[in-house]
Amino acid sequence: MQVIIIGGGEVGTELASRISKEHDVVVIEKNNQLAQKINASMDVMVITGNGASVRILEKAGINEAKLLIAVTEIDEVNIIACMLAKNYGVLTTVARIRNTEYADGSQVLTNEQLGIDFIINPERVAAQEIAKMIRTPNVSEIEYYADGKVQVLGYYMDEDSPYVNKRIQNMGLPDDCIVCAIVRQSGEVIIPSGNDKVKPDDEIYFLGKKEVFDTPFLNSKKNHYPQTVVIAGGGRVGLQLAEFLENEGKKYIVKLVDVDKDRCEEISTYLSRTLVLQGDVTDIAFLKDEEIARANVFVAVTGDDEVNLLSTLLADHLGVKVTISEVIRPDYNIILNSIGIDRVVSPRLLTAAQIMKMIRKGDVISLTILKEDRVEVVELIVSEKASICNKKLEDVNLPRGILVAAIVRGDQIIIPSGYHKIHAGDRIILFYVTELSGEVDKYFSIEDSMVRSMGKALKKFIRRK
Amino acid sequence: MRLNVVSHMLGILLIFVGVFKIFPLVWSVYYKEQEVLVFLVCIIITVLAGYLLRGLGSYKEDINLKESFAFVTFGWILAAVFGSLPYYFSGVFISFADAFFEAMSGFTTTGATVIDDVEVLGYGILIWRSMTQWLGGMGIIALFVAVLPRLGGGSSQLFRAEIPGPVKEKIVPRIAGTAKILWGIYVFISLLQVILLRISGLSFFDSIAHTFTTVATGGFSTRSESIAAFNNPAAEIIIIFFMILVGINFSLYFSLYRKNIKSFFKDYEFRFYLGFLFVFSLIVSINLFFKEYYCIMESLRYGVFQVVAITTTTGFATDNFDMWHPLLRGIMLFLMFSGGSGGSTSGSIKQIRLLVLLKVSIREINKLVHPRAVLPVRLGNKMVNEGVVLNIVAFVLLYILIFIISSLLMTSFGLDLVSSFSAVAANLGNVGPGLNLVGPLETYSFLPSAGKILLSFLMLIGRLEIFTVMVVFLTLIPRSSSR
Repeated sequence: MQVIIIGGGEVGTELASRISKEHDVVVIEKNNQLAQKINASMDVMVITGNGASVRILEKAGINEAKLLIAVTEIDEVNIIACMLAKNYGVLTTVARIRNTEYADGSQVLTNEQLGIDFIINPERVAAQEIAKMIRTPNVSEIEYYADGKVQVLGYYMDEDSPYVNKRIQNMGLPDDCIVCAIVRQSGEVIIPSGNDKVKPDDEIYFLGKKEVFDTPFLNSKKNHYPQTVVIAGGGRVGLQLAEFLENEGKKYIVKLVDVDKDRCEEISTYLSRTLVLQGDVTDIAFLKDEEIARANVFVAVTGDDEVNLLSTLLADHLGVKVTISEVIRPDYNIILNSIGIDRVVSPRLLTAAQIMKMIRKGDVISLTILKEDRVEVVELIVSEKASICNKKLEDVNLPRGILVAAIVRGDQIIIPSGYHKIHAGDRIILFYVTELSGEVDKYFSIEDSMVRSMGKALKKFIRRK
Repeated sequence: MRLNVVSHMLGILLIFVGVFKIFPLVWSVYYKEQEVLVFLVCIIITVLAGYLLRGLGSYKEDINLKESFAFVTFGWILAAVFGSLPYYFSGVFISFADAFFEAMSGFTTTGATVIDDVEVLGYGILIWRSMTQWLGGMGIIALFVAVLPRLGGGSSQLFRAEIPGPVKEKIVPRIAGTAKILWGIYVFISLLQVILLRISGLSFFDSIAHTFTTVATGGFSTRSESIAAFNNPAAEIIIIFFMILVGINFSLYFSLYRKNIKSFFKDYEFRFYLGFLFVFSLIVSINLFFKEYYCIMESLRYGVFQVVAITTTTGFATDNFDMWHPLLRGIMLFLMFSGGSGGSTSGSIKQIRLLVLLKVSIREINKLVHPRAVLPVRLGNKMVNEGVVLNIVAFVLLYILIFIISSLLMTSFGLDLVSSFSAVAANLGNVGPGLNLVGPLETYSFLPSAGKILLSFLMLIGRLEIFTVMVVFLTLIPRSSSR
């Protein structure tokens, strides 16, 4: 499948490198330097030029393309590119549109008229994600699978939780609920067996039937309202987050800090109840003056990774309970855990994850990326050619790090153990650490064509030592 | 630089080279030659060495820039070393330097030979000699990239390190796809030529051998007198046509295949290339008419063939141009510096570089008159990036510098000036025959071993377009030894 990506910025690059593993990708980027950088780092075709130009789009092979993703900085370019693409017969178009006026449903032109199938707005998604974290600080993630019948819940363990320091088999979890991943504070990801212990400050992923989670067995602490939330950075994310929190009524006292005076003035016209402060969030004296230490939540969304991380660390040091920071460059992920930052939001990854959900091929229904790309959850229909078919799970010897978390057979939901068998046509939900995605293909995917199996044989031949 | 990663890939490449030796083996078996054993031994040695190297290293998808440069350079050297085994073992040469020269001349599509009498050689050896050129023409690394599954971003670096020409654009999103298409076009052109040559009256064996060396712009022949030995005008016309064809940027054929005929004929370099050939063919033919043959048909026949053969760096000869008028000899020497289009199988500086250099020079003159004018270098309606312009200037400068230094080194072996200059120009440009002592009817066999090694090295530099080899020998090797 040919995929055209317009815009080689952060999101565009991330997507190109992911999609190019399976599909043919053409990237259109205006900036010559960026274009060269992409060209050197991955196997995609890069065309330097304007993505809204017919000539460039034709050069990129728009006649054969099935998917077009427009993620330039400029909304209008993205819209025009999608409009053109639809007229060329591109099946699916995705556009990043930040200006909510274009996307909030009240617009004069419908999405159909604009030729856009999916609108993504990374900053809005990030703001929503952060708002979710503030509302339920212990819950890191909620995802639904099997048409909402199965729920996955990520949860930060407190020290006073009854589950802490117990082995999973002794936790006494309700029926139809399992622990499918543990993320240690050190950043290590474990797809656990019954013997693994839960430690304080672990992030635990539970999976179970939806009804199980309706009765709160995790007895998470209730927030004491009103809560004070300090938002560092008045960019798109910060502003939208403040708006979300204001809409919650009197539950939150929001303070928004931005370093730029003009921006502060602009923001203050949009926000009615938020206290807008002009100041530098990395300035200790300022933080102390404004009694940041007494805040319940500190959110760093300045758009500058260094400032975000530094201010989060400062706030943490001053005693703020919950700190959340935005990380733009995923390169920093490797050090986050070692410096003690655990709650992280990355707009770029969120967007990439959203789009990757759309383009998964064939039998894969959905793919979710968790924990900054360290864990993936995939929901797929098992093909009859898959090697795992009709065998007992304990006989398949799946590598540690891959977990069949649930089998959906008709209306029935099975949380499997070793003696269960997977049949062709089953929907299964798989948890695995990202490095093992190749292995997952091996066990669950279909080798349909001669060419592909030959390619695999060749690959095997090379890899063998 | 991770040596084990490079070694692993080199191993796979060697296995490739070993497998390709099955083709000459088949010919030897068919003609019941004694070289059957030689080829069998060579195949075993090459494949074993390949397995050994592969086993020493490990597979990594993310090869970096340095590794790809090292792999390409050493890949070519190793291919030549193991490609020379059949010559050495079958007793064609006593000295290994000779065998290496012949093999390198093959893979780099130079076509310079150290075999005094080609006609006594067996079919197997001859077809292997031609085949090395065919493999090297489109590029062994390109084949490697085309056949092997994805190497990630690294494969495009490999590809760029080998494909000739200053601008290296992919024609489809994947580098493996691009390499496959280029090889596909190459094989298609080859098949076409084999059929046409066969029809023109050459034997099946000669058709294949000469097709291999034509489409690669190589220039090895199965006869000592080169194409002149056949005295077959039809075959000459076919060869002229195909030499011109493979001197064109191969990506243009792809746009032709995509029914984009306009962009084919609109291509600026393509037009310049045809014009260049036309003008020089005319000049040479007119001169031949007045000074040598006094017959229009003869003059055209020899003039056009020789201009095309030298410009595309093939190096075939239908006439001993070394005996021509000094002006014509001078033109031949100059033509050795031109080469075909970028992205073709020809060697030397390439038309596009000459063109850009010409335009830059004119621009600099214009700038003196209009100091504040903004004057981009244009090819047709396409702008040439300033970075590319600088790269081209540096390339040509290095090319000339290497030419001068090597020529001086050649004179140190006792060669006269004309022989030294033309030998270096012909080998650096992957042409083959030079003038005087190394003229089209002579060979390089009289040179001392050191001279042969020097020329082999020049062929490699010329084929990989200087930078790739220079990176390895000027930066990677000194550094890896000190750090």
